[in-house]
Order: sequence, then structure tokens, then C-alpha cells
Amino acid sequence: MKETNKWSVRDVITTVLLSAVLIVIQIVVNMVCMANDFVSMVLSVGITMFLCAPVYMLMVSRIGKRFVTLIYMTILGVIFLLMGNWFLLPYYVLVGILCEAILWKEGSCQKPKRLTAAWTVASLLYNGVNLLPIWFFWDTYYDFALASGMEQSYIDSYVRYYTSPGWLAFILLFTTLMGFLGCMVGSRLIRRHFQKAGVL
Amino acid sequence: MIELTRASFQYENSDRGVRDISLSVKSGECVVLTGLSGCGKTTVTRLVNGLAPSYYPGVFSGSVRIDGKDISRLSTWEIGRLVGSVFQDPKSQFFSSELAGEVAFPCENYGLSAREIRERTDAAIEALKLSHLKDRAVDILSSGEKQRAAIASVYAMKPKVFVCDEPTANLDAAGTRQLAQTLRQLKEQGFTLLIAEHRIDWLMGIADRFLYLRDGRIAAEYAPRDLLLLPETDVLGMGLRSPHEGKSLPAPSVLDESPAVLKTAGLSKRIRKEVIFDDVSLSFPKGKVTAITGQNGAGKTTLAQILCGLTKQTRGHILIDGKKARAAVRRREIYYCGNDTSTQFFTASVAEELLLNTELTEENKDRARHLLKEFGLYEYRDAHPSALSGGQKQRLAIACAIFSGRRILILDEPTSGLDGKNMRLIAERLKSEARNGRTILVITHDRELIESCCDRIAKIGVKFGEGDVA
Amino acid sequence: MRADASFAVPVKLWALLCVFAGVTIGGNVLLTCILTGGALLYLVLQRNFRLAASYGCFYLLLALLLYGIRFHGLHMPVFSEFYVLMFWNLSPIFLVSWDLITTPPGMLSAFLSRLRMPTPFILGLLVVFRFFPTMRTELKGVGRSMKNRGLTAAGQLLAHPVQSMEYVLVPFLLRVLQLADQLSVSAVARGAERPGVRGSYYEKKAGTRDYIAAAACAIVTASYLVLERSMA
Repeated sequence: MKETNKWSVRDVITTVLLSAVLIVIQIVVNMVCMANDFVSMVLSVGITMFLCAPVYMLMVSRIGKRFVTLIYMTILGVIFLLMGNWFLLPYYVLVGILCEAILWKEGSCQKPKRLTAAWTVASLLYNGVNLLPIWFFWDTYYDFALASGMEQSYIDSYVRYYTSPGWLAFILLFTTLMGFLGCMVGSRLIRRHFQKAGVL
Repeated sequence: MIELTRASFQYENSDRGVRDISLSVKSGECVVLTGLSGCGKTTVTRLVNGLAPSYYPGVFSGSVRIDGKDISRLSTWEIGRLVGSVFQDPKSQFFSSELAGEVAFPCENYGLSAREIRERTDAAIEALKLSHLKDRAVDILSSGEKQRAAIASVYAMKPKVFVCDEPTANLDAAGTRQLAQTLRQLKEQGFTLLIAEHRIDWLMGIADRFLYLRDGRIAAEYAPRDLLLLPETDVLGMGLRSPHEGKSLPAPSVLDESPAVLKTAGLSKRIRKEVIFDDVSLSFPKGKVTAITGQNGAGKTTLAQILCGLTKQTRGHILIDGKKARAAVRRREIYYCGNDTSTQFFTASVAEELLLNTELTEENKDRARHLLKEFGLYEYRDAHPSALSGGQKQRLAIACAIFSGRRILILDEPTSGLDGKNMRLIAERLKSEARNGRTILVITHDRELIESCCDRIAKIGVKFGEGDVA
Repeated sequence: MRADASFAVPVKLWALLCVFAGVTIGGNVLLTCILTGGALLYLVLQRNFRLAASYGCFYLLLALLLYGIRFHGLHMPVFSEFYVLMFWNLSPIFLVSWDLITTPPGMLSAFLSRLRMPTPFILGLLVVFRFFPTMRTELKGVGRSMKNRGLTAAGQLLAHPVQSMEYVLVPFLLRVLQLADQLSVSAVARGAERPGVRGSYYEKKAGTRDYIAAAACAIVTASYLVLERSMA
């Protein structure tokens, strides 16, 4: 492949396929975690970020051009849009732009450290996937819950993880750390397998 | 029509490539490139369809002219209208899930009008005798039909030259026969054909010339008649597959056998409502190599996976040494070596792959070293398995099967991508493993392999039977 | 065939816009069942009976749960009340979106090439639809090989989770890259790099049926909004 900044057919197809893998992982993790409030609100984003990190790193370093992350985040946003959470589209586009800024310097796509930085920041911001829907839907739910005769304390307890500063700090730290650890595994896999296999 | 003058090509970051290829193919001629794996025949096809160097980066010198045009001055899509390409694995190159959409794909890319796209698509589907499958999903076509669909899609572009890179690598016997018929028809219609292939017997009667490549150069040229007259020792020495089209396989007949190691009793498999096979009772004696043959879609692979405990049967049971064996037990006794190597390797090097899940004793390491040497993989021991060529991967998969301590081995089409030399190597090794007391089942339609190593044949299909190879 | 019963792509986009407008503007969560009902009818008209039936069942289950929560103080140990309400609320969007993305790819690509979208963009879209079944087969293949090599014992999975993740991810990802390469070679050899407007095999013009469907979408949404306002 000629080293240009123009996107070839191969780049497009690779990005689309690996983005599809990433999105499937997230949707599956999300669905499974939904069963339990604690797992879904506190752990799910961290688990997702850990599992997705190697795939993400492979995708960016395989293509080695700018805007891979932005395109991925946009596709992800569109999927959430189609699932009814339209506000996640602009949000993820913003996250994508931020990651692109981190990776802007020429050649950073091949530097695991830069990729780790980008994904760790993305991990921190990914909590939006849980927070924003609650934020947007809370009033509706609150009215419904009151009308159903639930007690104030019961309703509030649903968001206890996001209202108590201790829990909030833990969640943010946990997801960021998981994203970072995922990148460590990812860099190891890249060195041990993908570089050696000659696909990078 | 095709004119290569002192064309050389070397892949980037690799020492592989071809050197000094001069070749002239007349309009309407059919030329076959053959030789050992890695001899450069695929690269020559890539020079002709322009994918090297425009898609595969590397250093190119010399000239390639198609229909008088120097293709280094043309872009990939301009070459695409002159030269149509057919690849190895049809199932991983489809963009549409329906046959008509897939055939129309290139015409759509060329921005033709909707009416013309329809006309060309319909004509191509008609010409390749696929009309009855027009609205089918491509995924449920047989391998031969898939390859024909891929050719139809190229045909719709109306190129002058067809280039085929190992078109039978993923086809069964029936698919290969269909392909031979299709290519004969294309030749009759005046298309120029360039085909890279290991298996040359099916091309007798179609090909006008055979070029034998060695180490990236054209080493010899044969007319079909000369190739057939070649003494067997020469064919063996060149590592070629036999050019002689075989007689049909010996008919299976039931015979009394020594006590069976592996037996099935009334085994049936259904997927949803479809009967894959019904009431299969077979027995496999110790120390013998049994070939399992049968039409595609007869459920050979499914049967193998059930035997190995990787899929569940609908009814019936499987006995090892006369005792009913659960799936978990069978997984410890039977090793399954699948045909598709792409998802079989887990580690970062060939040596580790072989030693995966075994104790790292000196004895085991020694055994691994010997096996790798025998299979010509020792020099790649530190390479990543996925960096190997197709034939090397297939050999590694078989080596893993042999290295595993299990007594029963089932190999699924082990020689589909191997040249003559390696096919014979595998055959010899399977025979010696059987002599040492292992029970081996080989799913195959490779007549040469059956003749050179199998003791018995079991045929799976509408009727079941087993017997000895005459 | 489903392609014949399918509405034109612009109609589908319009329908999506309508349900979005309904769900975001309207405040009465429970009444969104009007929109969901409309969406189910919309599927039936396109002969997507399977989705209509299976989602219909799921929706009934949601309705039962909501009834329990609202009138009998049902508290659920798994899958919180919040999600039940949210799924209920977003159901019409799920249905219409799902119908949009399962449009026969030929129709979608024809629509996009009419919009003068560049070929690589369209290829990216086409590839996704064929990819999901392939992904499943490949994952199954990896799983079978792991079983065959004795890598799936419970002890192994628990004792070395990261190692097991490597065994799944590495062959799978390498296979995905290989597939991407084979697909791109096949596309490039068949003129995918040609610049300019792409043609299309399907040439379906919007018919009367489509206009009626589009109008019906607007009417259902509008009547939901009017009803919802009058009850507020």
C-alpha cells in the first residue's frame, strides 16, 4: 500500500469491519450487564473498555492514518442514534475529535504510548454511555416512578452510584484504569502477534 | 493478447517475487502456470491483472502489455475492464448477499446505467447457467456454484482476459468438474485464459500450454501431450500433481474387519428440520487409514466434528474400544484437523504452536524438532503461524494433529492446497502413523492421496458403505 | 420476496424522523404505545412478520411488567424498572431503525448512489451486512479449535483469563484482517477504485404505496402528539 493520507478501499473495509467488531463487543457486554444495576452502572463500561482496547489499537495501527478514531466514534454514535439515544451521536463525535487531537502528530498511530493515551481518555469519557441516557430520561422516569407510588428514597437509590462522590470517583477511576490495562494487553498482543505476523 | 517482457517483481519487505518473466499469450489461448508452492505463479497472475504493483507494493521492472496497452500506465479500474480476476476463495470476496446483486457489483462500480447493468447481469447469469439460482442467497450456494457466481460477475464486465489464481483450492470434485466445463465454454467463446494451479489433471483438454515455474522463473514449457508422456519419476521430481485424469474411485464394499477402535451406531444429525445424515453406522479399525468420501453437502465435515466431540449428534452414539464415549472423552482421544486453517492457530510461533498444551520436556521438544524438519517447517520455527503460506499452514495443522498424543486422528481435506511434493510427504507420514497403531480418518476427494495412503474407503451419501482400496 | 414489499428508503428515513419527533417531543411515556402500534403495522405492511411477531411478544412482556410496576408496586431484583420504562419508550424507534438497517442492501446502495455518495462509502456499508453472519461462523470456528486443542477446560479459563482472551482474540482478529484484505482485492479488481458516480442494479422509484405510507407515518405521529397534549 502506498503511504499516502488518502483512504484506500482496503482502509475503509478494514475500519468498517473492526468497528463492527468493537460495536458488537459493546452491545453484548451492555446487554449482559443490564441484568444487574451494580454491574451495569459501575462495572460495564470498564469491562467494555478493557475488551475493546486491543481491537482498537490494532485498528488504528493497521490503518495508520488520521481520522480512524473519529470515524469509529461516529459509527458508534450513529448506532446509538438508531437505538433512540440521539444525544450520544454529537457526544461521541466530540470524544472522537479529542482522541484525534491526541493522535494528531505524524506517526503517532504506530506508537503504543500515544494510542494508550487516546484510549485511556476515551475510557474516561465513555461513561457518557450510561450517564447521558439517565440524564435525559430522568424526569420522565421520576414522574412515572412517583405516580407508581415508589418512595423517594427508593427512586433516589437507583442513581446512588452517580450521585455519591465516592462512587462516582470509583467509577471514573475504574473505567480509566480498565481502559489503560486493556491497552497494556493490547500493546503486548501487538508486539507478540500482530507485528510478528506481518499485518502491521 | 498478453505480452510480458522481462517482467520482474519483488514484494516489499520480502525476498519473494518473480524474475525475468517473458511470456506471450495469443488471443483465445489458455495457458496454465504450475509449480511448487511459492514458485511465483500467483505473482505472475498479479502482474497480469495489475494488482502487483498497484495493490501489492513492491519493485517492478520490465513491461506488461494487454491487448497492446502498457498496463503500468493504466489505473486499476481501467485494467479491470480488460482483465477479469477470479480468486481462490469465492466465499470471502462477495459484497452482496444475493446472486444477482453480486454479479451486478462490478457494473455498478463502473457507473453503468441501470438498464445496461440489468442486461449485462442477466446475460452473465444466463451464460454461466445460474438462472435457476438468481434470487438465492449466495451463502447457501455450493462451492462450485459460488466460484461460478464469481466468474459470472467478472464476465459481466466483458473483459478480454480471465486470470484465475488457484480457482479449485476451495472446490470439491463436483465443483472442479463444473469449473472445467465453464472454462472450456469461456475458451470456446474466444476469451484468453491464464490459470495458476497445482492440480493440473482437470485442465487437460482445456489448456494449450503448461508453464512450469521454479524459484520465480519459467523453468520449462510443455504441451499437454508432452506432459502426459512425462515419465512418472520426472513428475515426482518436479513435485507436480499427476497430470493423468484418474479412473473413478473403487466402489466401496463391506468386508469383515479386525476389531474396530472407533464405531458409530445409528448416528443421525439434523439441523432444524433438514436431515444432514441419517442412521450412519461405520467402524474404523486400528492401524488403518480410512478415506471418507462423498458428495459435497453429504455431511462429511459435520460427521467428523461429531466424532471428535465438537458438535452434538441428534441421535445415535459413538463407541471407542466398544464402550460408549461421551463428547468430553472423545475430545481426549480424537484429534480433529480442519480444512480451514485460518482459525486453528493460537500462539506466536510455529514451535510454540506445536508444543501448545503439552509438557515442555526435552523428549517432547526433540519430537517437535524432528516433525518440523520432516515437514519442511523447521526454518520457520520462530515465525508467526499466520505469516506462513497457505500450504505451510496446512502442513503445520497436520503436524499439530500428529504431535498430539491422541490415538485417533481425523483430517478434513488435508491436501487441498498442497503441491505434489507435499501431498506425497503427508501421505507417507499418515501411512507410518497408522503402522504405529494410530487410527486415521481422512475426509478427502483427492484421488492421488487416497491411492497413495488409504487402506479403506467409506462413502457418505444417500447410501453408506465402506470397503478396501483395491 | 421482501424487497418487493419493502418501502422506498426515503420513506423509511421519513418514518424514523417521525417516530423520533414523536418520542422526543411527546411527554406521555405510556401513550407511546400508539407509535409502537403504528411501527408494528409498518413492519407487517412490509411483510416483516418475524420481527413484528417477536418484538410484539417482547412488547407485551414489557407491558405486563409496566402494569405490575405502576399498579402493584412490583420491584424487580434484576433488570431495573428504569430500563423497562426506557425500552417501552424507545420501542417505536427500535422497530423503525431495525427495519431501516435490514433493508435489502441493494436498495440501500442504490439510494446512496443516487445521493452521489463515493464508492468506498457504499462498499463499507455493503460489507457490514455480510459481515455479521461471517463473524459468527469464524467465532464458532475459533471456539471449536480451542475445544479441540483442549484450551477450554474450566480451570484453564479461570486460571488464565487474559491468556484465554488472547486465544480468542488473536486468531479471530487475524481472520478479520485477512477477510478485509480478500474483500478489498476482490473489490479493487472489479473497479471499486473508479472515481465518479456508482450505478445500481435496483432502480425502484417511489410509488403510490410509498407516498401513502409516508403520509400515514406523519398522521400517526401527529395524532399521538395531539392526544398527548390534550391529556396533559
